[in-house]
Formats: sequence, structure tokens, C-alpha cells
Amino acid sequence: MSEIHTIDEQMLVAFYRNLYFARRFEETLADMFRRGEIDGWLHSGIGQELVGVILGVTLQAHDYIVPYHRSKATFLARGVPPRALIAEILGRQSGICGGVGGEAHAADVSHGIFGSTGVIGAALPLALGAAFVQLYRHTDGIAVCGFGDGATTQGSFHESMNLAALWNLPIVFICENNLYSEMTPLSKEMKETRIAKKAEAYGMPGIAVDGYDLDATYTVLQEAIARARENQGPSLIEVKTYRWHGHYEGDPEEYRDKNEVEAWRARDPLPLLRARVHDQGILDSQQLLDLEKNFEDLLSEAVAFAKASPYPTPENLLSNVYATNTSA
Amino acid sequence: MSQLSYRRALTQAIDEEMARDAGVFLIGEDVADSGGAFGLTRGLLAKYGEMRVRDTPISEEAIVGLGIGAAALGLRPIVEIMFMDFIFLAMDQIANHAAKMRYMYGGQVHIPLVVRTLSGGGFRAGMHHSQSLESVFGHIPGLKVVMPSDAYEAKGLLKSSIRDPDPVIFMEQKSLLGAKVEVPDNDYLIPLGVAKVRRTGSDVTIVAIGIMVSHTLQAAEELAQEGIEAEVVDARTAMPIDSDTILNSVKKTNRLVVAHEAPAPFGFGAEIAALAAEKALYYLDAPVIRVTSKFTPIPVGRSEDYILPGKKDIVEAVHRAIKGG
Ligand SMILES: Cc1ncc(C[n+]2csc(CCOP(=O)(O)OP(=O)(O)O)c2C)c(N)n1
Ligand SMILES: [Mg+2]
Repeated sequence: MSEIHTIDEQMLVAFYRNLYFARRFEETLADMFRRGEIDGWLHSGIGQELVGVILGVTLQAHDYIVPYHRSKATFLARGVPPRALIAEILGRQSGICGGVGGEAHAADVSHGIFGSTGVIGAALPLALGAAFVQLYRHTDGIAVCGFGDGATTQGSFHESMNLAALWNLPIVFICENNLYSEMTPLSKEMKETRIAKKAEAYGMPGIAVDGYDLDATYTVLQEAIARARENQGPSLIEVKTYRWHGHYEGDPEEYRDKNEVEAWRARDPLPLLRARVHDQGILDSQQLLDLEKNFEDLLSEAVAFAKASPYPTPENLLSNVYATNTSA
Repeated sequence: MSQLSYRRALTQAIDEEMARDAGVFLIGEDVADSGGAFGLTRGLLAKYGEMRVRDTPISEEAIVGLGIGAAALGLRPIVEIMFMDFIFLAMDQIANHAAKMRYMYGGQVHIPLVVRTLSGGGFRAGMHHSQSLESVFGHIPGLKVVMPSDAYEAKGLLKSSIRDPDPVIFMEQKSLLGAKVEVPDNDYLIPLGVAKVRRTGSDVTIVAIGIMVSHTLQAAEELAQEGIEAEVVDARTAMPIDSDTILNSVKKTNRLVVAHEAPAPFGFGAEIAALAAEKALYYLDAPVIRVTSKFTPIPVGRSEDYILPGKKDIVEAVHRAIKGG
């Protein structure tokens, strides 16, 4: 990182809006899960919204994002309608994938988001394809691939980093290092825990950044994005961050210390950003309250819409296996 | 029309499709500079350039994943896996992503990906360079599995596979690479999922796939000399299965033998036997007989011949079928 990039007022507001909304979205989902309103699992991204927000706000429409698996923030900040995202998580027909993909396999190709997967590490090779398409079509678009610290111990990480560097693909790998892979702490995942350092072995820059520092994270991401866009090749960004909730909702969290959680929560970037937007005189208290109230309305409307949506029909569930009419 | 080897028929199919559609590209280990470990892609780099014909590192998972991503976003990748045995390294990408992506994203994407790979015995190279894994892929919803039985079939089926909107595992039969038949120089397609009756007969139906089609045709000639007329159905694709063609033949001959190079358990033959049991049981005058390899890894050298099935096994199977089991 050379020097901190300044974030202009308009972008600060965009960041605040999206961060606030992503946080409320995560909180709402967690509440719904607790009330038994969500089938299956929920993997909260609460505490890790910032990267998704920055990407959603700053990337261009023709860039592709293979999202970090907890990041509802990426979808929302990229403009995916919240009602269709909640409907997907509730497995409803009106969801972005017709309700069959759900939380872990959600994609919205019309918003350039694809490659979500239930398989840790599998996103990286898929993202190579997105970057290759940009190269092939001679666009100035790029691909961004999010994943956790856990993915870096997969063979797919090694293969993908090597190939991306070798082919000079326009891609940014973003590892959200939240210190755990399920119940396993970083120190039991890998001997070398400085993930960014691994980039050097593949011939690309690797930069670690405090993911609760908006300006630093913004700067590092912008530089890597610009690098990819100018055909200077891929980068690996290690964002040090933390998930406030368990690996899944309901996780008893016996593997970590409550004080550790509290220490990260105390550094929450959301109130800091709110204060900044207010203190710089960009939005006054009333404007902030109005904005937040609007989001509450949007959320309630989205939840109501999703809950009222039907589940996929048997016909829906039997289609899309093949594009052509194929029977076994 | 000219006599063309299986190898050149494949090259021609790729060449024609690359000329026709700028979205078609080819990647794999040694496919570009050297023209393929077995010369299958010779000349393509010079013609189409480095963006469209690319050598890759030995990274099966990454290159198949790259193909899937590119396919989902509108290109038509051909990814070569040098030997089918190595496809297990890309299994997560194929089975969990190529196969399921269209479904899991609610139909937002097509995956027009072709994974080309050399399969089966013939090089006497042993257990890691000789397998036929069609049933592994036929078992996974979302995939198509193609096994061309000669050069004519290879060209028409590969062209269709490249144009197909779904992911195709294209199994090139390595013991046929040098075999020549008449192949049209022009553009023709063979649809996926339509079997072909290669020889008509009234005494027994032999459904064969891949390399076993040529063994079966030879066996049928031998059987004809004894007065047994076998109908030979080339299944062409392990998935989709052309039930109609197979059942119509079984209903006519009342006897069924299925021949494939892979082992029997959970195999293509089991599937065809189940089809006959479900849809044509009362037409059968004899138990269904499967001709397959033995249930072992494939050994190196000439021991391969003992393990893999051939013409003799088919003749014997037909004799048993005629006797009633
Ligand atoms: C290939 C594979 N192995 C195991 C799992 C089970 N699993 C789901 S999430 C997870 C932890 C992933 O950790 P990390 O990549 O650090 O992401 P985080 O959950 O911390 O955000 C594991 C092991 C999986 N989904 N895929
Ligand atoms: Mg983690």
C-alpha cells in the first residue's frame, strides 16, 4: 500500500448506507433463524460486512464477483433486491435462484455475481473462468474472488494462484481471514499463518490489511483492483476480520474466548462510520435517522414478501437439470 | 468424403467448431505448442492463436473450474484431461459444479463445457492410464457422457458436444485413435442421446458402447457364420440413454447382451439391464448378459488383454443368451 486513498463524501455515504443495511439484514436473518423461520442452516456474515460493501459499491457493472460465502453484503451492495435475496435464503420460488440454491449457493448473474458454492475452495477455479472471460473478450473488466482462511489450505487455492499469476489474469483474490475455520483456529489450520505472504510464492503481490479499518481496506482493495484492471496481474489480499456469531447460527462456540469476541465487537466499523458521516457534516442526525428508518421499512417489506412467496413447485424442482430436454 | 483416422476426425471437429464460433477455446496440458500428447490438437495453435489454444500447468481442478466459470459466462470451453484416470482430480469441479450449477442457480446459466479425455485400454499402460469411467459420470444429474465408436461418430458427436448447452464428458477411445473410416469433410452433427442401429438382426440385441462397438460388430460377423443374426446397437452416449431404440430392438429380438469396457458393478450394462427389466421384461426369452472387464484395476502390459473384454467374450455371451442363460 502506497498511501491511504481518500474516500469522498458521496462514497462515504454509500459505504454507510450499505454497511448499515447489510448489518440490519444479517441481524434480521439471525432473528428469523432463532424463531425457526429459516430451513436448514444459516452462516452469518455479521462483523464481516465491510469487504462486501466496498466491493459492491466500487466495482464496475461488468466486473464479476465470486462472493465470499458469508457475504450477504456483497449481494446487497451490488444491487440485488433484498426481497429476492431473503426469498432465496427461505427457499422460495421468488428467490434469485428460484429457491433451490438457498444461502450457500446463491448467485445473481444479472448483477455479475456467480460461483457461490457449498464446497470450500471450489470458488477459486470458477473465478479463474470469470477472469479469463474478461481477458478473452478484451474488456477492462476484472473478477474478484472471496473466500475464507480455510480455503487457503485446499489444493484448489494453490492451483488457482499459480494459474492466475502465470496467465496474468485480471483477478483479485480476497481472503477474509476471520481466524477460524469452523471450530478450528488458524494455528491448527496452517503452519504459516501470514496468509498474504503466500502470494510471493506464486509471483503476485500479497497484502494483509485490518478489515475493520475502512480507509486501509478501501485503499488496498482499490490498488489491487486497479492493478488487475490495468492488466498488471492478480493480487492476494488478506483481510483480517472476525465473525461475531458462531460458524453457524446455534453454534455453542466453545472453541473461542468471549473476550476475543468482545474485543472485535468493540472495534465495530459501523458506529465509527456513522459518526464520521455525521461529524464531517455530510448527513445530519435527522437525515441519518430517516435513512435508517427507510431501511427498516425496506427490510420488513422484503421479509413479508419472502414469507408470503410460495415454495418451488414439483415442476420447478424437476427443471434446470439440463438445458435441453434430457431424460435418464 | 475421405478415409480419416479417429485422431484426425477429432482434430477436424475441433477445428471446424473453432472456425465457426469465436467463443470456442481449448485448454489442457500440452495441447498447444506440442499439439497434444497424442497429436490430437496439432495445428490448432498456429491457426487460432494463444488466446484460444492454451497449454496449462498440471492443475486438473483449476483448469476444469476455469472452463466451468467461462462456460457459465458465455464462452464454449473445451478442456482436455490427458487421461480419464486424472479426471478424479477435477471431480469436485465436474460433479459438484459443472453438473449442478445450472440447477443450483435456478437456470440462470448454461454450462456449455466439453471435457475431452482419452479413455479405455489399448496403450497397455496400466491402472492409471486405462479406465473407462462413464458410469461415474452418468450417475450424476446434469452431465452428458459421450463415447464415440469410430471416426465418423467422433467428428459428429464432438461437434454436437461443443454446441450443446450442457456439460459433456467426451470419452475418446484410445485404442481407436489410428482407426480409419469414411468421414465427410463437411459439417455434420450427430445428436446426443440418439443411439444407432449399426447392424440389424433378429436373434439377439447387443447394446455396445465406445470401443466395444467395433468388437461387437466383428463378433456379429462371426456369429452370422453360425447363423445367428445379432442386432448391434451403438449406444453412443451413456447419458442420455436412448431407451426407445434399445427397447424396440429388445422387443424384436427378445434377447439382450450389453457390452462395455468398464467393470460390471453399477455400470452402463446394469442400467440397460434395469431398463429392459422395467420396460420389456415379458419380451425377454433369456436373462440379460453383460460383457464387461473383470472387477480389478487394469494391469500393465499384455495382462490387460485378460482383464478387458473382447470379441470372444461377446460371442460367448451371445451363445449363452441363445441357450437361454
Ligand atoms: C470442501 C469442504 N470441506 C469442508 C466443508 C465444511 N465447512 C463449511 S464452512 C467450513 C469452514 C470454512 O472456513 P473458512 O474458509 O475460514 O471460512 P469461514 O467460515 O471462517 O468464513 C468448513 C470446514 C466444506 N463446506 N467444504
Ligand atoms: Mg475462517
